[in-house]
Amino acid sequence: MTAQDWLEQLGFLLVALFTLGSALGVILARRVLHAALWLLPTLFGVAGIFALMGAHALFAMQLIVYVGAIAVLIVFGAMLLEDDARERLPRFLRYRVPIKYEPATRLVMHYYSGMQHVLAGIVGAGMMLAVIIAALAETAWFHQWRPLVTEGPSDFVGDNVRRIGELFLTRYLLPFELASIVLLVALVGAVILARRDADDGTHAFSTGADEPPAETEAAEEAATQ
Amino acid sequence: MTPPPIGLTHYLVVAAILFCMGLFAVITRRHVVAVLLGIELMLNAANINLVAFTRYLGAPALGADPVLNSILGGQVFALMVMCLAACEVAIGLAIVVCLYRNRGLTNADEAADMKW
Repeated sequence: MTAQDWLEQLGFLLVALFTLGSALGVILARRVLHAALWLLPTLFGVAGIFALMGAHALFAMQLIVYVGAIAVLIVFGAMLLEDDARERLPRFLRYRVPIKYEPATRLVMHYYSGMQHVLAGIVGAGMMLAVIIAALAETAWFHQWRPLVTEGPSDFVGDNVRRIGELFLTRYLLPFELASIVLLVALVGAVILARRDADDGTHAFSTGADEPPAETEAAEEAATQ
Repeated sequence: MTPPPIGLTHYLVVAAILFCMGLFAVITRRHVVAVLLGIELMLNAANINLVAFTRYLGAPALGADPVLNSILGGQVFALMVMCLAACEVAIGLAIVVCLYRNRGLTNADEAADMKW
């Protein structure tokens, strides 16, 4: 085991734990908005995993598309919708603290509510850590222990983005163009679904009978992003 | 005793756990946006699998002409998955917002009627 091997083990362990831990937050958070916010560190962690595997183009696209667009869109959506269904966990996951531990629980909750911003800071710093680990893994400083091409021809370090671009414009040209059409249709469809006509205040699929609360401008913007 | 080097199996295990978490969310949660979140988790797990297979099993099977041969085919597919996920979220949220405006529903169990 060289120093580089240990670094790789450590990096994988950190990123994997970060990803799975925040995914746990996604599925266990009781409020939908919290779950949507937990999705952000999860996506950052997945980006870190991509970077560990040398998929640089995917790392960048994960940050731009998933974190920058999809997760933010979902957060907007969760804010627009009423969070009435404050989710109840399935019965076997619900845990009630026994009454004799009540003071201790209250103490923990007291500190927790004071520590919430600290927790948020840890999560944010963890996301930054995922990005920094990914960046460090490609520096010359790191590669003094690890030659650029080590394990067979699939490890095109530093060449990844160019190769993907070439593949998209040669072998995968048709899927590439089809993807643009699908995106266009999806976005136009989303606008039509979420818009409200200016004149009579109705919108797609409205029966016209019951008019709901007005919060449509933000919805339109969220849908068109 | 040294741990085994990081390989295909490590990434596959992480992806499997992530996928099962997503499946759990889709099955157990009732809020429609939470279900969408579960779907996102599953798509990410699939992406990790695609990239891992490209990284560890890609090149030897495919032979000459490094540019045209799809050594990075899995990564290209992962990008496609991201693109479709963006479409899915845009349409899905539009439908959800529409449903909420018309019926005041955010609970997937209550939105079981196809016609009202």
